Amino acid sequence: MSAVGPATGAVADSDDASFARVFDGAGALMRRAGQVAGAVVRGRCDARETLRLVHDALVDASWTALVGAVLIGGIVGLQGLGYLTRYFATEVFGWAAALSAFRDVGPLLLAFALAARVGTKNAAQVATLAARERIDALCALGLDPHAVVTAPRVVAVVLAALLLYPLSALVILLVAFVFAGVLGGQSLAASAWSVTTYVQPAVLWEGLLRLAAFAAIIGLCTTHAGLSLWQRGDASAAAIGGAVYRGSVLSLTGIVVVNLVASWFGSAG
Amino acid sequence: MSARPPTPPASTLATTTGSLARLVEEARHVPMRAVVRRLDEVVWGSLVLVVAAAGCVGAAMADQAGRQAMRLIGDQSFIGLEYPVLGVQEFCPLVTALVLAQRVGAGFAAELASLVVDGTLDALRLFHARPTARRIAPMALALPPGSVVLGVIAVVVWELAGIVAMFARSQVNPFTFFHPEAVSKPMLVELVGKCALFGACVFVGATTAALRARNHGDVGRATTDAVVVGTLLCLLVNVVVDVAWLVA
Repeated sequence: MSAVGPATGAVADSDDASFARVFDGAGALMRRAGQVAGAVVRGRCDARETLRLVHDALVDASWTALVGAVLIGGIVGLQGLGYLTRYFATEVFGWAAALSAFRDVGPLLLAFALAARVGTKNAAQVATLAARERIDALCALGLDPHAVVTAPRVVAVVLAALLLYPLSALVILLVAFVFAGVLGGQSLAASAWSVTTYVQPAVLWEGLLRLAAFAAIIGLCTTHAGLSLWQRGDASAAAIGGAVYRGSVLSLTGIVVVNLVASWFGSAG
Repeated sequence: MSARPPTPPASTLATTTGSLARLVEEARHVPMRAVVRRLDEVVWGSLVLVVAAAGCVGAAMADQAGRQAMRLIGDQSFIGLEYPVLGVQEFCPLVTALVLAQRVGAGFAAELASLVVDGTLDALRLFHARPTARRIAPMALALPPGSVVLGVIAVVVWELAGIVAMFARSQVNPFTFFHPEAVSKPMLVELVGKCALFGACVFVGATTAALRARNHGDVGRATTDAVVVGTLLCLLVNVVVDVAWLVA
């Protein structure tokens, strides 16, 4: 260390500290996941709070998910249209679009939209609760913060995503068909026939499971980021904004990694 | 700092429009050092996340495309030609944009909203310190080129991820899979244009949300709105550009 001089050494030390922070952070996130799982398995997740949060998440996210679904449908349709014109693949267009809408592209982009709407709001709310010492107040009242704050939020995001999935997936598929019909002359009947003939029901379940996993990641990462202000005692606006930011980044990373794992070990469709 | 009354949407739009107009007007007063610092923040700060996102999404897409091609027609040879096109035209700009909306959009909105509610922007304006030129414009000038740089890096990572995934799954020779000639010059122009537009969208989303903040409680909401508006704007612009490309 001394051979490279104090400046380089300082950089190396700060790099070591960054790595240590990353591992500490990963450990804390896994511990939080364990606490949430424990609260859910032991039936300690506050049901009324969960229902209220599901309602809030649905009210908040419905428009974002619907607008997102329309735009994602446009992307799926236009992508399929490219192959349609290059390979004259009218017979398999519906199947390919359904696979994208239900499993591959739809849940992934929908999860990004949910992370943007529900995740960031969740992080901001929890960070505000932590910064204003409401979590301490819950502890003082003898309540378990994991049972009344953390677990209900994670479960609520998962339930809201599962409820939004059928309509969103259908909208994505229909918009893709409309784009292909209007811009590429693809027959709606041929697309529908392709879906009913080639698409296996397992594709729908796989898409649903993927979205549930993405939603669990969003709920867990954003709640964890918000709760990070709990012991820190920093109630500034910048700290709350920072928690939202950290929650977004964590969610995004988790989503893309889990998507790769699910795709790799999932069926070919 | 006393809480200010909430601003109606029309007034917010006027504020944002006014800020954007001021941004153009004060462009010549922007310190280059601040732009470089922002560019550094956008590119280096988002690099790991963009590489991870483009790599993971690319590997998943290549793997699925390869498996479906084998299942349907028993031939994977055309995947190498289609895969870089999919990355250049669609997924790399989009993944870069979504990462920037989540990371830079959220961070910048939180920072700007804090300045607004703390009264720092007003104080700077009072002392003729040009807050728009010094605090807002550098990010406006840094985001589009930063987004282009990240988009190009994402394309490289996307291709490498595809090569690795196809080799690991089906033992496809990397040299057989690698087809850079499939990407034409107009496609590269589309990549650069999309990335620059998405960078601008992220900036507009973050600024619009941040300038609406009136009290400390609004900072979290501004951050949330910045990500939502940025994400949806990028998706919308993507569809519009794709349609224009198809029609042209």
